[in-house]
Amino acid sequence: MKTKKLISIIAAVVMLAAISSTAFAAEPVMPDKDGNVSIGKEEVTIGVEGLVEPITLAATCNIGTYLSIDPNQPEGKQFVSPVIAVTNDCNAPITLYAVGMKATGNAPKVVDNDKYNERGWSQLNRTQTYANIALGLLDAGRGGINMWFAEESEQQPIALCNIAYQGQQTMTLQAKFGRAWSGGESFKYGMTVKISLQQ
Amino acid sequence: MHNETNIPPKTDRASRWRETVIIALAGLLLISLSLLVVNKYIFVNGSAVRPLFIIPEAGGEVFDGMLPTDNPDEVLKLLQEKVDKNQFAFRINANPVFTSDCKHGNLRIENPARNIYAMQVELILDETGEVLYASPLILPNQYIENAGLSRKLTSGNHAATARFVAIHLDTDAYMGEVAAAISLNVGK
Repeated sequence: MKTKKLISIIAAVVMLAAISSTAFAAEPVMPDKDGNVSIGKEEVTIGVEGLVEPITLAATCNIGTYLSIDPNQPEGKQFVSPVIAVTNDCNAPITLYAVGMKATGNAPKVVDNDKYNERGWSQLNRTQTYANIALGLLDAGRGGINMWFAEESEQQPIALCNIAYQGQQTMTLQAKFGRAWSGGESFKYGMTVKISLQQ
Repeated sequence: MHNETNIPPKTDRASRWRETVIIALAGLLLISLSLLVVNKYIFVNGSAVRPLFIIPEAGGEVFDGMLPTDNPDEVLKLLQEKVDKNQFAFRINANPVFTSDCKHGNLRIENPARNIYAMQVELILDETGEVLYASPLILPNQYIENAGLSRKLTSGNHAATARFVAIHLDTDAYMGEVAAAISLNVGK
């Protein structure tokens, strides 16, 4: 019985000693003024030099788009426009803004989509048809982009979506227009987008 | 019985009369048809005329089916090819750091080699709309590492917009633009 007690006491003392020494070794070691760190009696130099490259914004965008209107097609199939893509080429998520859509050449000017009601758009005469068009963007996938550009002189950046790093956003045009065309017409529009690092 | 043999039978006279009538009607019909032909092709009001409709041979001009229109799918394919050629890539430091005098900052602007357009870049101070920097023409596969601003800014961060203008390599024509929101960091 005495032997057992003695062994227990010795074991407890050994454990306490072990815990104390471990705690002592775990104390933080601060680097000196040169950034070197000393551990124990032998000095070990871990000189660490770092260069943090600034984050680079990089993207590939369409700077223009085309549309075609064929008045001889059935309603709903008269307007055709290709897919527009914005690709995030940097390693951080970005936010995409639509800044503006402007006519080039003899293309009808972009106006507010509510300048005419639905019936009004379909009843524009030839002069009005060639002078007015409402354009907007729709998500080509399943996203939620559905916007209309304001009149050309009043366009402001509108946040469209966030694009993950190395990701891509695709969109198509939506339009409201008159019906009094002389024939099938194709027009080019300058589109400006803006990107920023996602906040 | 004897009397009956001297009188000509009624049936012979009737058939002779019928033959005469038929011949007369056939003659009248022939004359009528001849007059119709002469009237249509030769004489109307005493002068010669051509028939009302002269229908030429088709000669490969007439096709079966409905009048064709442009196929929307083919139009879309052509437009898509055009749009895909109009892609414009750019690269810029999102947080360029400038010396206190703003004469040196790491803008790190790149016109990637895959671009088909040259590039001209403007830095616009968001607060005032002032153009703080306008780059020279940057061709594809060229870059600008450092540049200075047109005037000194107070130390700290300033929101700015980098405007990238795409310029046609041969004609110098404006082809479009994109923009990037950046932050100018000016040292003390």
